[in-house]
Amino acid sequence: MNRHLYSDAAGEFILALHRGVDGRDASAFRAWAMSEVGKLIPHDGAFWLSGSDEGTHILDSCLLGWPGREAEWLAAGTEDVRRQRFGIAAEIVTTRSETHTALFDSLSLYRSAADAEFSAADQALLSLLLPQLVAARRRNMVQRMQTPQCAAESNAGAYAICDTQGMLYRTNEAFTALMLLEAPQWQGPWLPWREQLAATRQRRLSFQGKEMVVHARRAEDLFHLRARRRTLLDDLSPAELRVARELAGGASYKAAARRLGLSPSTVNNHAALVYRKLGVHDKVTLAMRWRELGGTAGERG
Amino acid sequence: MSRKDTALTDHAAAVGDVLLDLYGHVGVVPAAEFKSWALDRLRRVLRFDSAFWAEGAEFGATIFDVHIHDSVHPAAEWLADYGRFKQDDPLALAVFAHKGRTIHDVDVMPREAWLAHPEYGPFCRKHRIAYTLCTMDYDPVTTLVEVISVYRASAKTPYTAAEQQCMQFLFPHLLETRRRNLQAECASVGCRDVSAETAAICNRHGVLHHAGEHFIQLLRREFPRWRGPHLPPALQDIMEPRRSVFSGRHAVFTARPRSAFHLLHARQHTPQDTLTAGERRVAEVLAEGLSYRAGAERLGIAVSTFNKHASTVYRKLGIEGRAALVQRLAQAGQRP
Repeated sequence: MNRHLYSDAAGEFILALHRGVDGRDASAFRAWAMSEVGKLIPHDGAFWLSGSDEGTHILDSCLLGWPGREAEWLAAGTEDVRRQRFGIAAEIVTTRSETHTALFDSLSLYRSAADAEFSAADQALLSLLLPQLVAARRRNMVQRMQTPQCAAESNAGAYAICDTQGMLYRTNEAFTALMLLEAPQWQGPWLPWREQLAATRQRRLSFQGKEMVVHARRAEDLFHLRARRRTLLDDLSPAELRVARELAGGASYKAAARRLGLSPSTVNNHAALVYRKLGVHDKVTLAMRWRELGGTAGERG
Repeated sequence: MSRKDTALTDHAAAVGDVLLDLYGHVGVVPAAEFKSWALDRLRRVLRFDSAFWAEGAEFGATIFDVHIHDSVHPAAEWLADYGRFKQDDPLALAVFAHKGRTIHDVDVMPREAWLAHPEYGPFCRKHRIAYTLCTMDYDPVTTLVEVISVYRASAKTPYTAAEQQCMQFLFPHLLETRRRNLQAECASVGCRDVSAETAAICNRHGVLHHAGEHFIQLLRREFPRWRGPHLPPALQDIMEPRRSVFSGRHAVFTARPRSAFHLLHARQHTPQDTLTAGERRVAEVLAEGLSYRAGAERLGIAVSTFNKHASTVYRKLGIEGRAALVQRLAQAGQRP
């Protein structure tokens, strides 16, 4: 099979690696990444080693293709012994060292069939991919350590940048998709709220459409836009939102009233509207609906 | 492996490093310099003498950002000369018809035809362009357009098919990192600051498992002789529960425990960091809008002390008036 080194498929995998959207845990990330590598360079097994001090100190290692045999792998004395025990017929390896941190990674791919040599293009592609895999794995580590709000604000989601007149400079696919949902006939580069954007002197403003909600934040002479699908929560007034948050967090009406500085009857009134608008009948389903719709946590009662 | 195979791997490894560099510096290189910086990085794997990178809207009718790289004549002159025949540029029509594909000018017409072209010929001769690789992408919905052209001055070295393929491969990543770079420039401080670039991870022995580009820059500025894999001794303390912040001469380092590791973060000093605890309390109270008398009462200090701290705050931050103070504190965001 004639595989081009600089293929579209490899390019798209690299884009996906650097996007690193979801909060996969370490092993799920690695399983996904290596399965994608397998589509570009078919292999039967792999070994990914991360180390420190140019490899003298092992920080992490992962063996794929021979489940449950990692201890045996690490214990195998020499390369020949290992090859024989694990039935390896062909292998390629690439390594990468970082100058300042002395961090080190090595990735090996193996094949067991007798006549399945790796090509020069396979070796070259592996060298190209390793730095991206390493970067993505580290980004994944950092993401998992961030608080949920911070992680949510990273590269995921619908983003755009426009100037103060409302002309788009950049969008990502998610933002464009939302715009088309809102107005299927829309074509850029002008945003529908250009007049409001041009007229405002505030640093932050929001727009509510039929399908989407957009938050704009000014940064020098540009606006940074974040968009999301409109949910039922956007139909609540700010006061109703506050009451909903308390009740969804498990607070009693009395506790909510006290915490919000409202009279119990006011809380009653707001709550009735909240229940009607969200289509629920009691606090338990409210709490479920609240979570489903992405409501943020309140204080526990 | 044969020598040809080694060369192939070396080139691929170099391309991999360029990609890593591009993605790793997204938040580090200022937006105004990113294109120039990125094109210089591209030179490590693709030889060219000058380049053109433009972004626009309305399918190119409006251009909002243009960068001319290493041109022989001033950029303004280059643009003015090109503007004269932009509408009839055969190369532009070809790339528009094949978006995302890198086109070599000789794929469209032979070199002699280009030189004989009434407008293109003189343009190429004046601006020392013998061969061009051009790639364009646009979005039919937003009408946003991006185009990158790289030029060679010598007639003896046309681009090869492999070089064309390499440029086509790198093009989407140049655009993606540029988009993120612009986004990073617009981003506010606070939460978003903790990215893979500004963060580091170490275990409880202070051995680094990861250090982002920006973190390393600041670390090396603070500790010029440092080399990994351990954190510098002076920073080891921040893993202790009560000393999670290290304020150095150039940067502030913080640490947060995360199971068996610590998540570290580095940021440059801002003027706020020079405020003492007392001054910071006064600043916060001022930002709330309290009068000096009420503020002094709230903090339990004499009005004259409050006065003194207030004027120091304004002086250190280099601002006048509470509105500026409110804005400055808001920009600083939450403390980690």
